[in-house]
Amino acid sequence: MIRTENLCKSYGKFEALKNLNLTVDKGTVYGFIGPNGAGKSTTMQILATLLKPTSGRAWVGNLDVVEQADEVRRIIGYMPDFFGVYDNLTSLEYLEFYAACYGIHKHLRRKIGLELLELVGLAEKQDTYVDSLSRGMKQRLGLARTLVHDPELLILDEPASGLDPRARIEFREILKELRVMGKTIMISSHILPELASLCDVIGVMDQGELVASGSVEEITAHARQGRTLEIRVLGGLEEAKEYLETSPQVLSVHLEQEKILAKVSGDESVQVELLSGLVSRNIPVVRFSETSMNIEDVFLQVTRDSQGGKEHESIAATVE
Amino acid sequence: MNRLRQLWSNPVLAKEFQWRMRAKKTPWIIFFYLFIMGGIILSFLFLFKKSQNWFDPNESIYLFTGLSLVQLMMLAFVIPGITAGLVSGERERQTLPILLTTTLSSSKIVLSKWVASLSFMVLLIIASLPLYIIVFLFGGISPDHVVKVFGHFFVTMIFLGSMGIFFSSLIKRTGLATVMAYVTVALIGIGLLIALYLILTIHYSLHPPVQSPASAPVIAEILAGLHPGITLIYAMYSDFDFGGLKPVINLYDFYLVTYSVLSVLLLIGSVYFLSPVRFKVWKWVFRPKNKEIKAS
Repeated sequence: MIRTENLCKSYGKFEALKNLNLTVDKGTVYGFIGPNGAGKSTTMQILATLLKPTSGRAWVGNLDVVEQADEVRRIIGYMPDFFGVYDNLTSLEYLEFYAACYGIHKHLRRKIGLELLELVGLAEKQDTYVDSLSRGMKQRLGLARTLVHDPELLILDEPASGLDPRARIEFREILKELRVMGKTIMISSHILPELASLCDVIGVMDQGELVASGSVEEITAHARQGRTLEIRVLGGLEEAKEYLETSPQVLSVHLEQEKILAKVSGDESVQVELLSGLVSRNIPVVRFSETSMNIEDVFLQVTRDSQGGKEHESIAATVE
Repeated sequence: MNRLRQLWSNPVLAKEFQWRMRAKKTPWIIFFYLFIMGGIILSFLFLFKKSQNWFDPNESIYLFTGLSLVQLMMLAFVIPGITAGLVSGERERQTLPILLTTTLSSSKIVLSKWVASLSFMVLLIIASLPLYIIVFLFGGISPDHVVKVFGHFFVTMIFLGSMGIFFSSLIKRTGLATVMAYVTVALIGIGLLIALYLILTIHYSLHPPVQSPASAPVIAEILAGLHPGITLIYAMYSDFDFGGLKPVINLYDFYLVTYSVLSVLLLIGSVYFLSPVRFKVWKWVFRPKNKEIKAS
């Protein structure tokens, strides 16, 4: 559905996108994750025919986004990260207006508008002026707007930003419904847990580059090079630290309040070895567990790894 | 004709009309427009009639020209204010990207917004017709005068509207676009007059007029032909001259042609700056050719 080939975009000297190669299959929900300024919005704007790439090419449904922009617009629904609404229009008129912009026949517009309002749960707000809707409702109306011409691909740029948890859940439910309907969805966010449950594939962007791509599990596994052990002892903190530091499998050790966090390489047998080592030295261990890496740690790790060795060290130094 | 109908059913145009007629300020704009126009013309008539008991039909052309000049100034005040926010307003309201990702082309967006604002100006002019009828009552104005004045208004409106929308498309902020549009209006309205005055003064001091039907320097005629007020007066008075210098060019025709051409260029410019993918404007201009190639 989406394919990019060495896509680059620079603003003056600043490179917002560096040789992006991306493939999104039809019918998948693709999550685009990355810190602010990573190039997610730029990519989405290029795919939505709003920006011309500096070099490289991009296709949506086998149509070139620069050469065949008109045809591309017909099959995509784009929702920008920030968008305004017209005052003096009601929700239904708002949808009818955009339906008209897509050249949908006059008799069908109202029907489509009502159906979409029903889909996003705004049916009872059809005669409310758009500018008096809450942010969550506007966002849902915006989503309905992207659907007026029944596009194959939805490009949603940070659709859940600024929404309260409830509105966010409602929004996610609608997206799930759309996934069932077979739409290809490209959705971006800088909040990873928001996407984890929804997406089939995730792409992590940082500083204009795609640093990781794959299913949620794949990315988590990729990021988890070595595991972190959390050890709590009742006494002999220094002794335990010394032992761990001398152990060859332990990569790094640092103290955090009463806990010892040790990064180790190798499989579970290493854990057994370390635990028996501690116990044999009569260190009173009360807790010995592997910290589960949550999706946010993965995000931090993946984006940090991409920042080159030197920076990595300096960040690690500040952390430790 | 089919294209015209297409433009008429254009959703942006329909929405602009709807918005314009729903906005609370619209009746106020019409009210103040007529109030100022009517105030000037009626108080003038009142003072005029008081000083003499009879009315010379030859003088009503004077009144008619005055009324038209006032109308022209009102257009120059109102149109930039209306049109300079058309595109930048969408940009500031963050509705433009969405509009650009629909299947509407940039040219359609610009043209329909332009037509919508001009329609409103036509409404204002039609609303002011009763004031003209007061002047017609006294006689002395030929249909030729009326046609010329309205032709002049039409071209001026088109130009002012195109200029407003051009700045709106070029400059991202409505505030700055509005200022630029008014500065341009001031340059045309006042700047040209000052330049013309300076040129004629220098010309007179260098070449004192010896015989009476001498011609003015070409640059002075061009400047005069670009000025809306002078060309309007020129159209009303067949014996128009610059203090003894008869213009060679037909200033009125020159004005109409120049500003029509400028309007077209400004509109093309607006579409160019609105298109997200800039070079597309060439595709737009050469579209018929492309279609032929495809068909063959």
